[in-house]
Amino acid sequence: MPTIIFKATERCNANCAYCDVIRKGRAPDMSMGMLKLVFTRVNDYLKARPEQRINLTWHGGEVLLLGADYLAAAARLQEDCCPGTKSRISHSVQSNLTLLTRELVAALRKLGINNVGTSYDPLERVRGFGGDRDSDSYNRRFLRGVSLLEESGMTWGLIYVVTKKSLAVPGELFRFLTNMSARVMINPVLIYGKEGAELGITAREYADFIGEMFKLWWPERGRHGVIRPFAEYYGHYMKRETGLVCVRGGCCGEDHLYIGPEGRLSHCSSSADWNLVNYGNIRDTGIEEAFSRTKRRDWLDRSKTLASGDCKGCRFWGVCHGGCPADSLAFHGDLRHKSGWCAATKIFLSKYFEPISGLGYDGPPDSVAGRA
Amino acid sequence: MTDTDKCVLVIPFSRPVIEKAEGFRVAVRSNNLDDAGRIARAVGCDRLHCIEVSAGSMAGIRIRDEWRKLPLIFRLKSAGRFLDYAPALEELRDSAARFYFPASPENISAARVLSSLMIKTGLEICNGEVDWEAMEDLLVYDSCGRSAHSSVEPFLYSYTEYKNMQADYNELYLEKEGVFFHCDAEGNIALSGGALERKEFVGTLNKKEEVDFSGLSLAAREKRRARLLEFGGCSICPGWRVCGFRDGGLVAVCPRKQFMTALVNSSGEVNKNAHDNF
Repeated sequence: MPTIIFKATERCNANCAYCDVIRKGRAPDMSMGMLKLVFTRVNDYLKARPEQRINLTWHGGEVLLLGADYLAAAARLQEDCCPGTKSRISHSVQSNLTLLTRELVAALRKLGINNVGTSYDPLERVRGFGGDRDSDSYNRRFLRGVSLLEESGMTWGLIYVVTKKSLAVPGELFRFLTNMSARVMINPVLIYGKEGAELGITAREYADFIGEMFKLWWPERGRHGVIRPFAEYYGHYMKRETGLVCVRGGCCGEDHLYIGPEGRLSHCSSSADWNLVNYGNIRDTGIEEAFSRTKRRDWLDRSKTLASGDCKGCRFWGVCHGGCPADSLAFHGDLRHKSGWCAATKIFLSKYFEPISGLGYDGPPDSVAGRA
Repeated sequence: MTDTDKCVLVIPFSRPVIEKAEGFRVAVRSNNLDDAGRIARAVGCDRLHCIEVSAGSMAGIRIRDEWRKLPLIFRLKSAGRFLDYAPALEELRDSAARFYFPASPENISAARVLSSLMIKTGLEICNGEVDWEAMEDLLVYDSCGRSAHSSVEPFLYSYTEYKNMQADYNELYLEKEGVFFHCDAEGNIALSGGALERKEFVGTLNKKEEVDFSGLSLAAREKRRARLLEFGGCSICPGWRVCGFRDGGLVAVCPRKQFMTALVNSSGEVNKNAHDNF
């Protein structure tokens, strides 16, 4: 299913230490006219592909800054612009939840959203408000937000971003996160450029960090909800499930598209935030066209290039497919390289996952030609 | 689902109060077991959460045939002498009733005996002195014991709910704040049994439409989660999920930690074994 990373605002009420969006030049919020155009384009795409569905993932900035009226207007525009296709449009949202109100819950529900993705860090001054990054106020408002979600019968999942500050306390953080939420995703901090470099970690540090967490997760895996990446790798090893998140699976070429506040099209949030890819503007480009842009061929062909290049002979090829293409683009200027985080995948799987679980991986389940 | 669907009012047995509580599920308290049938008729099965009967011991408790399926909960100081309840063993065993005691060493031993006699029991670990070591021994008996025995609370609750992030065993004691609201005979409403005793009311059944049950429930949820504002202590305890310790401050050495960790581990094992044996 195509996923549109949909950024209607780049404003944010927080000042998280590792965030790229708040540091770059900020575009104005998406206008109602542009919003209407997006739904019109989505409708055109779905009308031409009756078997297809689309997911709009609302990203920010902080989406809730748009307000309940804006989100309700989006739901109305979808009704108006997509009369025959609206049942094939789903929405998801990533929010810091600190601004959540009952009105916003109702507005999210109008878009069919019953689950919210969010982020949290219990360590001081990683996520917070204002210049001094007030994490105490932030955390209180966050917990109020998740309580309100639950009270409203909505579910939520948590992304934890591993930074330099996290490295000393993997066990404590594992306990904290699994006490906090039944759905947790543990990702490395992505630093592009010099800003926030003091929080940056290496692939080995990330692998060792999640390795320590894995030691706790493995014997208790039946009791926790979905803790990723462990559940992803476990599913992949046991059943060849391909549910790896994009940065770990390297399979986003066909189905990711980014739309920014002013209609700018890119591949994904990272490729847009880091100014790596430009597919044009939704004003003069349909979604079908954006998916078939010449530049996108490079993303689709990446698997072939890597299988005979950087990843040749790697027994984990079938797991990660070279990792996130945007990493290659950011650090090498092209898509012909594997992600620097592939080292983390290799170290984690060979040093921790396989020895502890006793599970083995016997090579790629899919051929290179098959993927391409 | 409306706010009133989520809430349970804990009320004394009084017909006016039952009438005022219309629209809510209710847990009805009484000191007289003979009220059980009258309570069930006055409230109706679909609205009755449980009937809670307070007494000293099990001596003299007889469960009439027509009460066997009623959700009876007994809050007792102790089990009492075996000889005093032995004549009623069969009817106690065959009923839905559960007998709760404070978690003193004597009562923990009694719970084990009663469990082996197939009588449903529970230990109150929400307040008062608890013998955690004896509780852990009983947990091993309950979770690993091969001989047939009846369930013991809060172990059963933990085995069933340990994956549920909203679970709070205090609901066994009608004390899950934001879900259970305690009322007195005048219809005053409080957030807990303790708050009711202290007359800290949040409203009255006479004007229940003015009580923001939804807001109070949200506040209680936040309060329970407040421990997660600290990185340390309860928030990183392996047993926190089943413990949900709410009222104390952060402590360096928690007396509950070892037991609660054992309880969450046992819950995992019990479920794994159930799954493997299926």
